[in-house]
Amino acid sequence: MRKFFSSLACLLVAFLPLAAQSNPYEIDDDCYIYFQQAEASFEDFTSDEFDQNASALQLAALETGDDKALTLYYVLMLKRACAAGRQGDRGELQSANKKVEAARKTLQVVAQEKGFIQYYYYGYDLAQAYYFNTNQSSSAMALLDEMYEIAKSEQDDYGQWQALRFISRLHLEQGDALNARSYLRRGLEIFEKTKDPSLRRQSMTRMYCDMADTYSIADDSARLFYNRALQSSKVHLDTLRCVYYGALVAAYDGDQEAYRRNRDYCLEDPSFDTLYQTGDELFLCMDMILRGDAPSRELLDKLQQSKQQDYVGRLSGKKGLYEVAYYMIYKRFMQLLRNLSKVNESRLDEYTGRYDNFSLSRQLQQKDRETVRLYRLAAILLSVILLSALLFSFVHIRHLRKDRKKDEERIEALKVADAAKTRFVQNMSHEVRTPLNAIVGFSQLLTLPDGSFPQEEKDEFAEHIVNNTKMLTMLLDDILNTSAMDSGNYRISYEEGEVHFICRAAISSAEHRLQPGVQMVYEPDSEIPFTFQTDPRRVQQILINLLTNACKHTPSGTIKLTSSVREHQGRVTFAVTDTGPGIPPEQAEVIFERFTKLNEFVQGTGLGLSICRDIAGRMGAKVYLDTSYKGGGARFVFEVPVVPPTENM
Amino acid sequence: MTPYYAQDHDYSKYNVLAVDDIPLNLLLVQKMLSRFNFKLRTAAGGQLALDAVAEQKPDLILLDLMMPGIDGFEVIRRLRENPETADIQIVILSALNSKDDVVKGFNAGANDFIMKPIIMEKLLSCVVTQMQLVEAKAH
Repeated sequence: MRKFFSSLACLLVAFLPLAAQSNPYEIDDDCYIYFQQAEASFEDFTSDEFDQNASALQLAALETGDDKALTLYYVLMLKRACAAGRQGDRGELQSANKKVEAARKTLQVVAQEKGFIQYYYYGYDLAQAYYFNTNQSSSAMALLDEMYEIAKSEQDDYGQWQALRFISRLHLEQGDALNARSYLRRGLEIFEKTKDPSLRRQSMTRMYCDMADTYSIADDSARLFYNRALQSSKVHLDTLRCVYYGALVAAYDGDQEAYRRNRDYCLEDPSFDTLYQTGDELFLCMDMILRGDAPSRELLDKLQQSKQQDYVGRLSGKKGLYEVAYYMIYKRFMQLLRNLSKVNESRLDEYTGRYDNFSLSRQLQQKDRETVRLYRLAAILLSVILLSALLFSFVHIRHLRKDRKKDEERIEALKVADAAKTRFVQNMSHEVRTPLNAIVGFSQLLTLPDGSFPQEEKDEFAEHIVNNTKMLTMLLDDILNTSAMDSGNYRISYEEGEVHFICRAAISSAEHRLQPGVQMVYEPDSEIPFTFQTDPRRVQQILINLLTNACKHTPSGTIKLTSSVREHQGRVTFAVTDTGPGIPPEQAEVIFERFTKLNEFVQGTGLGLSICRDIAGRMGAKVYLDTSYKGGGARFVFEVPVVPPTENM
Repeated sequence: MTPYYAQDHDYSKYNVLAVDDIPLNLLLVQKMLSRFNFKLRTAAGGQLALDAVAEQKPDLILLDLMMPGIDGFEVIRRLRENPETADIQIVILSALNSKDDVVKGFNAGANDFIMKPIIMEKLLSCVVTQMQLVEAKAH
């Protein structure tokens, strides 16, 4: 059995050159050249040379459309990030972690897109190795757990296998053989059951070797897995691993020849030093132990790997070198203890760092969020306030402007109305007091004892009293008419009226107001009586008003009333012409306004003409000043429709 | 009981000027004062009043305020300005009846104010008082 292993190992050695492939990645040849160059210059990954090679690889991959080469470029980038992180200060670990994570994610996105799923998992591999090597084994473990879960949910055997392999190795490196073994077993189960060709292609040698490592060298299980490793070995390094293992087994079993052969094979291989550090020293120790000599403490102290320490301890125990065995076992135990505490420490560090980071970022985030919320709230509030203030002020200003304008207009109108009213009241007071003065005064004279005045004088006083009472009545009528028209109580009642009769009645009513020496005449254009439908009393009232007005303003000359049924079609036209001072044309309309008097000292309420116009309006008639009259004095025209307006019927 | 003014008293040496733009008012005043045998003249406006004063200085003026042209206030002002006429007793007879008008009249230099419609007793007693003042001054 043992011979079989040894010969097999020899056989494999012979085939080693064949294991090397010219282009194992099966990418474009140009790309491969750049890839190789980049790999070769990776040792100094910060150099321009590496950069140039990597860029060349990327360009070539893009030009040739070789997706795999492109993916490999991103692999290199991740490798560089990992290497840089490993070299960097521990203080910059967080930023290095971020770079590694970014590179890993980029690689994984590309790998997933281009369909090279094994590189997707390779991203995890490289990253976890980085974490492991920078004493962040918990991060490495967390990453691998994630990888395993993803692969499991994707039912990707390759991914699961890889994850399990890395997890087990992580455990193994921490000296936890039992856990490592259970993960390895699961990995092997997956490998045995899988139909995934990419997994089937994988070499199980390393895994079998790892499995063997979880057992002590004397254990049969170790031999079993070593055997399997040997069987599945396809690559040069795997073979070297197996040969190394073979040497250890042979030495333990006492097969000196096989041991020497395997030992020599290992020592001659240039990769051996990098694969197994202190491998040379191990073989030196083994040689001495096999000869029965105890290796020096110095030499023994050089063996750092716990697996080697264990092996030397067991081998020396078997050869009766108990002191060495005890020393090695003690040393190994102490080292395991140290490792364990180191691992725990680093884990503690890592967790503390992560927690600090986490809580800090959480605090910051919360603060940020609060700040943002506050800002947003403040901004919203501010804009709402501003907007409403703007709106309010706009509306308010408009309102104010409108209001002010309205108010100003209203105030102006009120002022005018008030002034007119005040004038009216003052005027009224004067107007009322003047006839009243005569009435009261002459009445008092009449009450004096007989003989104070002769009878004819007394008659004269009585006449003054009567006239002034009439005047006062007219005054009151004017006011009451105005008030009635304002309140809408003024009624027009239509009946038959005769023009000449109305005119003569008006004259007889107004005659007594004539100033001394003034004539009042009636001149109809036709003596033929003309009867029409109208309100004769109102027509007469207007005529009396116009005539009275003329009397007031005519100190001398003639006041003439005319009537015509021909001057305007369908209307009876009355006109009152005087020989007074006349009225300027620009005052033609003003005089019809209430309380307007052109001459303050002429008696009157200032209501007469305004009343005339109001009444005329209600009858469909017109009263106006004839501004075209050039005869000196004034001519007022009063047109009354022959047929009353229907709305007033 | 006979009012004291009704007692016969000789005022014939006194000159009185009544001023009003309404003739009927002048007639009324004339008739009311007829029992006193004043030398009574009338003027139908401010300017006519000033002319009458210039012609012959009266002892008392019964003056209306609201008149076209030169009104009562202006007549008072001009008379008071002139030292020759400054001492004439002036009584306002006016239909203007607000407190402001009364005050304004007194401020202008009137000696008394009688509102229209004229109550005869008031006018007569006022005139008697003014005559007594004139008599007192003369002594």
